[in-house]
Formats: sequence, structure tokens, C-alpha cells
Amino acid sequence: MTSESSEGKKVTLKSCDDVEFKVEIPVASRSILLKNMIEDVGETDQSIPLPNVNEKVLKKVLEWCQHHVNDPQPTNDDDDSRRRNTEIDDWDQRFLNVEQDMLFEIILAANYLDIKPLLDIGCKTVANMIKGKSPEEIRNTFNIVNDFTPEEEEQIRKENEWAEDR
Amino acid sequence: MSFTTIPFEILIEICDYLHPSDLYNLTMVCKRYRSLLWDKTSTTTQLIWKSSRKKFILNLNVDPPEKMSEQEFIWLMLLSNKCMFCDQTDKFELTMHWEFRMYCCFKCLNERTICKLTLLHKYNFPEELFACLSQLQKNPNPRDPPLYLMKDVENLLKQYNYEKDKKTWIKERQDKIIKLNIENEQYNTLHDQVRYDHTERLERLLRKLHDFYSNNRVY
Repeated sequence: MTSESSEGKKVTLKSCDDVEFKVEIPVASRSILLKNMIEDVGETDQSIPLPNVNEKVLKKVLEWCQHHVNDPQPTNDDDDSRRRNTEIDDWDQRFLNVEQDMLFEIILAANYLDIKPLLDIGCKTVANMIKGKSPEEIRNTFNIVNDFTPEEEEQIRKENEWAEDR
Repeated sequence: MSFTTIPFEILIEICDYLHPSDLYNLTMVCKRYRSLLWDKTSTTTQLIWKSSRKKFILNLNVDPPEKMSEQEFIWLMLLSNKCMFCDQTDKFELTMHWEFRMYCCFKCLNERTICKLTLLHKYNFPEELFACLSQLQKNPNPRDPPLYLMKDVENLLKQYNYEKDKKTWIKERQDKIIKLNIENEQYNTLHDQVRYDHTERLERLLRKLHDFYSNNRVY
């Protein structure tokens, strides 16, 4: 739903690498951070600097905001229901089918810009990459170096099985 | 940016979608994740496990006993799938003994427990101390003398010898054990409900009866 007053009006966002994006206010308002800023500042010609987001990531995030511009705003009281649902719709799945690097950048940007639904699907996507995998498979998936020595690994295995001192 | 460098606050969000068994695997991936996910006293760590338990193991909706971490609780209740001490994996050979915090086979249980009569006759164990110990709740034959965990006996004797006011101490211990017995019985029941479905519970019961009657001639 686009409210009368903000229809057609635009706000300028500036990425950390100084690229400006002119965005319709309802699209930018998917970000609670920006929504509050716009409400506080009122109409302005000045661009809003986003020191934590670069052009590539901002472009991607705004693409998501544009697609979801008419979604209902999440409320606080359905916190549990949104977490129980682990489904990700087709468009979002395709949207997040990106390099791992980009996926984590999007998650961080969603966290910084306070876009809960985007943060959620990002985290769900990563969780799905972990589910059912052994520690070694998780390391391979995310390129993680095993920094335990063989002795430490043995100790961890024992600790995890709780058989000591009995 | 990668999975190894993302801030903990994001990792915590991700963990919110993971089953406790996946959290277990994450604790073995690298030091950084272990530091977040294995801390037995950190409120954050405990909340991650608790939230995962409540979301994914619906019938495990009771909190762990005092001094037990969420991850140990979940492990004992559901995740462990072999004997704690040997490689026995046949689930019908394995039993939970919550009073000893042990999920193990009969052989390993035997090696770690001691019978009341042995304690009395061989070790001159003070009679009044028996009520200060947790005894095995699922004795294969309920008419057999009670079994105790050797480790418990050792610890008890150490404290007992050290204590000056032995009378008061014994009284306190006995009261504590009475409460603990009830609690442990509830956790034992809970464990069986969480781990086994209806058919499996029935089969366990039938096997137990079968073993009992083939080992004890009934007159």
C-alpha cells in the first residue's frame, strides 16, 4: 500500500563508495532505519549516506525492497510465527542465489538497515546450508579452516559425549 | 565477508533456525564457533540451545535440572545414540539412568555400579549413609539389592570423612536425596517419552519382562 503523501516522492541514498541511488520513499521505507530517518528529517534534497553498504550490495538490497514494496510491515508480536516458518518463496530463493560473499554482505546490510524479513530469509538460507551436515562438510561448504589440533579434536569429542567423570 | 568473520549477532540469528543436532556439529567446526556455542555458563549460549530445543523438540518442554547445561540436557534426552562408554549402538541394549546422568548399556552400567551388600560386607560402609546416595531406579530385578554409582560412593565418603558435624550433614543429604529421587524419576519418564514413540516404549517393556522371566525362575 502506498500512502497518498509519499507517492512518487523520492529520497537519495548514498553508498559508502559514493554512488547515489534515487529511490521511491515506500521502497526505501522497507528499511526501518531509513523509514525512521525519513520521518524524522521530513522532505529533504540532501542524500542519506550509508557508510556500511557499498554500491553493489545496496543495489541488490534495493532490488529486494522494490519487489517487496507492497508486503505488510512486520510487527513485533508475530516474532514467533515468522521464525517458525522456514519456507523461502521462489523469488527470494532466486534472489539469494548469489556468491557466498554477497549473501553475507546482504545479511549484514539487512541487519544494519533493519530490514527484518530480508535478514530472516538470509539467515534461513545460511541455516539451510548447514542443516544435516557433519563438521567437516560445514567447513568445506564455507571454506573454514579447522583450527583444532588432533588432541583438541579428541578432547572435544569426549566433551561432547559427556562420558567423563562418570 | 564470509561465514568465518560474520559478527556473533548474525550467527546467533542463524542458529535460531538450526536443530540442536546441527548446533552440536557447529561446535566442532572451529574455535570461534565453539567459544560461542559451548559455554556452559554464558546466558547467550544457553538461550541459543534453549530456543532451538523449544522449536525443534516439541515434547522436551521442561528445563534442565539445576547445574546442568542445555546442551548436556539435550544430549542426554535425545541426541546421544550410543553407549556413553563403549560402542554399543543397539538402542534396545541402551537405557537412560538419569539418577547417574548415564545413557549406557548394561555391561558398562555394571562396571560403574556397586551393590549394597558388597558395600556393607566387604567395605563396612556405614549403614546410615545409604540414604545419602541415589540408587539405580531401573533395577532389572526390583527385588535385587540396590545398586549405587561407585563414583557417588567415593565422593560421598570423601565429604563424609571431612565433615565435622556428621549428624547434621547426614540429615541434610538424606533430605536432598529424597527430593532428588522424585526429580530424577520425572526426568527418567520424560526421557522415555522424548526418545521413544509409543510402539518402541511397548517393545522395551515386553523385552524387559521377557529378560526378567528368563533370568528368574518363578515359582
